[in-house]
Amino acid sequence: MSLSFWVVIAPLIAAVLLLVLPKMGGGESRSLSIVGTLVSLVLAIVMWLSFPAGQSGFEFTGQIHWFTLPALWQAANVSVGLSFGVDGLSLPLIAMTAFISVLAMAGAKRSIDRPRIYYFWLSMVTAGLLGVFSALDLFTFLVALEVTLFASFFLIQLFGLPGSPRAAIKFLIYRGFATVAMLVALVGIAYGLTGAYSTSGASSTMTFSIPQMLNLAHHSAGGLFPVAMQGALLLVLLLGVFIEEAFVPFHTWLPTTHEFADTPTNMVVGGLLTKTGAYVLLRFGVGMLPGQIQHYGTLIAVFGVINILYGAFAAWAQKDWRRLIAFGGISHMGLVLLGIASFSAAGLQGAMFMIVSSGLLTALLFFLTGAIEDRTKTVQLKDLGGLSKAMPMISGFLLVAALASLGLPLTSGFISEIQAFIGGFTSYPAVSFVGLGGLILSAVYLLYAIQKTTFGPSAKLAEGLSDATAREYLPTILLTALVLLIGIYPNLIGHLFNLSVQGLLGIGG
Amino acid sequence: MTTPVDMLHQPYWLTMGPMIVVAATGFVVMILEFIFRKGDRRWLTVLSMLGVIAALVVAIVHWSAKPAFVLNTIGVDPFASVFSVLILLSSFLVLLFTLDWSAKSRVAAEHTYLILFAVVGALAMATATDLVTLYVGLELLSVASYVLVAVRTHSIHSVEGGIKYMLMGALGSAVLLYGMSFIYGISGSTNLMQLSSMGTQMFASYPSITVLGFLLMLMGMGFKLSLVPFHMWTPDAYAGAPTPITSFLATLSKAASFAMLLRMLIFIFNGPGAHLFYWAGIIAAVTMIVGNFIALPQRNMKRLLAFSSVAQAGYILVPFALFGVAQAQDWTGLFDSISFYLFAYTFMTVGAFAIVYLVERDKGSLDSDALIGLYQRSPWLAVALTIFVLSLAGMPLTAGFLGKFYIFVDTLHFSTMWLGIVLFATSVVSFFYYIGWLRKVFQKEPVGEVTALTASPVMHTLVALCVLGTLALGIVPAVLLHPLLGLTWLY
Repeated sequence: MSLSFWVVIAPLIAAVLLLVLPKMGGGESRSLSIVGTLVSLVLAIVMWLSFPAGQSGFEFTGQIHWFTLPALWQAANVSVGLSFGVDGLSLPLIAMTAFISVLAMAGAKRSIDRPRIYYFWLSMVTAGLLGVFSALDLFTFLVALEVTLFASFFLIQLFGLPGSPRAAIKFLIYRGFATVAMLVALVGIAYGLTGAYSTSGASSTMTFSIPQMLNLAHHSAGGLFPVAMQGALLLVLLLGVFIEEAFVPFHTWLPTTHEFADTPTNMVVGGLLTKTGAYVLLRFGVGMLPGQIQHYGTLIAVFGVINILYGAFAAWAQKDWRRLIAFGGISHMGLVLLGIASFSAAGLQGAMFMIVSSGLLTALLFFLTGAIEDRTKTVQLKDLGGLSKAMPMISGFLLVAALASLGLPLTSGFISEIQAFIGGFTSYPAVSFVGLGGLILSAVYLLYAIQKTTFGPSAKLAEGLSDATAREYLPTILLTALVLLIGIYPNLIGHLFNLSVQGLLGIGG
Repeated sequence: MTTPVDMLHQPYWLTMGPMIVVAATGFVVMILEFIFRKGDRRWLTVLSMLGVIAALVVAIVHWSAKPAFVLNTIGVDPFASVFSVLILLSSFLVLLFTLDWSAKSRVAAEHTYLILFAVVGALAMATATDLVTLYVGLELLSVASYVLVAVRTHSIHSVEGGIKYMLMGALGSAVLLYGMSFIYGISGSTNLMQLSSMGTQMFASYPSITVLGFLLMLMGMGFKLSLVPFHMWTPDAYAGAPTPITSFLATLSKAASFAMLLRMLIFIFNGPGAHLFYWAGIIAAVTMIVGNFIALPQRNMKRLLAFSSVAQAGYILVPFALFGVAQAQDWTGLFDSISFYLFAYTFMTVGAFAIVYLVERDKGSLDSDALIGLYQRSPWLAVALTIFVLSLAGMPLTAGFLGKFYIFVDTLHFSTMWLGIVLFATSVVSFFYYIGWLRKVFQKEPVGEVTALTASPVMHTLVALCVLGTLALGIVPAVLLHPLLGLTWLY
């Protein structure tokens, strides 16, 4: 069994143990779930350190035959495997998933009712996310995707603030549709690729194996299966990605979810779950339908810029920190679209940097605002103020997070934005120029919110509040450190996906 | 001179073995029921279950038997074997279900052998190769079902449901028979073997009458399968019938009707009539859409499951519609996906009805509010219901997901993707009502005081079996898929 296999299985084992072990208290449940995900984190770091340089293929692969679907394709059987592996594209996301999940679990409040169930679902969503990022079989991927869907649904539904059931249903319906659209598009691509091969005379075998699908896409150079079908499949895929990523106009589920979910759930949903769509677009869209990505490049770029600007304006208008972070995230992920649309090395690298950076920063911002809410019982901007006197450390870190979010040099936000815009300007200068407005706006809404929260006259509710506790320092410092580290030394993650990005561009580019 | 031992090696036994065993059990139970009129007669049900198990063994032995048939009317081929196993499995689950029910409520013990005779009819529907025999099997199943629905003679709802079911069922049978008579009229034969070679000729000579025959037969079976727009009786009959009987209607009766519809239409209308199957695709789409949308406002749990079973029938009809597009050598995949989904459907549906039954008995109400706080009342049943509901909604690692995935891939394979998209899009609609249940099950603030929900060991066994089936088919589908590998389904 390969390392990548254990990365996914470890949190799953923890989840199962949580269910079956008797007499688990809150502390034990929490420790168990942390240990499970920590194993994944350690294994991800091991893979990171031993990842062979100059490799753009899948490493640490492992496959277990799961079952055979009889007579699926031209009376031939199709084998479905439980198959995992990593490449430069997925490894940073896997490491980030394990990292943020551990911190979310470690930073969770001590007083949770039904802790067993809580940590069970938290471990499940982690396992699902790790599965999504490392799956090398389409069926495995879809199963993992659905696990994330209902695991996070239960987290929102059962452990959110009052009113969360409605938000949970909204979440489920939106993402349910996204999953359906992706399932249709991805299985369609699998069929298209094999069908393409058979018309060229070569013997075809239907496959759900992602490396084989990539291989087929590489060989057919996107020209062998009917272009109209490719285009239709890309549009269906984009629909799924747009809902999954909460892009305008399918974004309304995200702010609602964040408003009603608790802090660790928000960290996982905002930091990780909303990055799956971007990963799908890179892996399947750019990887398997590169010609269509270029064909629809303008459309994608325009939607990217719409998201950058709409997200920023909407964030400015919010009165609630959680909704503000949600819209800020939408604005940032718009930049990912622009980077992907540019179909250039810089653009795709920028997209990858932005996925990681936005994940870390969203998690950090949710954690800090959660810490503030624990003390003040509110995240409404109008009620907050002058917190820097009572809690200088939390306020300080909040400022750092905000500055990184708006793209201050030497933070991860800077490298992401600059790369994505370089890519965008090479391909779509006019569209990208409009998008630049988002940079200014992000400074406006973030600094405005910071000013309302930490500076100014001390609000009554800020009096006598304590600063960060040991439990809160750990996630805060680690997340901030990573944000700065990536900003100062981007190659830390850049070296992993550079070659993969080159590989993506090599296809039909 | 043949001895009884020789009989066992006769084609009669090979082809009709399960049927003979179940029918014999039925007669024995009926006679014993007359003799022992007093006291607890649940052992009769246990006896029936043993009979069903024996028949199941016989059917499994013949799983991949060489095709053989007797009297030109009853045959055995993998198609018959697979559906016989499915029918016997669901009848076992239903009998287990009635075991608890007849202990708890005073009902006439006739239901035990009525179920057995219905199973004989169902087996005939899966194995017969003659229109007349098929029809007799269908009527045997139907007449027994009408009585079973109305078996609680003191309940007005039960009687109302029974009457409605009987009227609509009789109408369906009449329409079906009308369609069959057209086919007989132009071909002069009721034998499916002969009919299958006459398809081209029938089409050439009497195209419009053949089409009429197809549509009437599809409509007639549409009543039995509660396809839209022939589904009106479903909620009343399902809600009126005692819950174990409801689960019988939803699984066993449906599986047998699907077997009959498949065999009948494929044999008669293959070749030039293939394009007719497109109509089934349209009915499937309408059934999925209407079934899922009218389930949305339902508060009565049994009515909701009734509409959900309407929608599920639509899903199963999707691969059926593809028979027209697919070449004969590609049919295997379609048979596989239909039978896989039916197996999955049987487990999750019986399981869901079992829990609805327990909740109803506990709270005395069929309103879905009775589910509130189920997690506190019985965590195990709450988790089991969650598994069934997630499976019905098509969530992965349950049987329902793989079943839908398989059907979806079929639609892609035969370039009928729009049906696959309708299938998944309407399943998202179904999230609403299934998840609505889960919300209540896990609701934090139960109304009133929390009392533990107790269930008999029999019910726990039934629920456990259904959970096992639902999860096994979702996590290790090989248990069913691998036996299906390489079956040559028809003669």
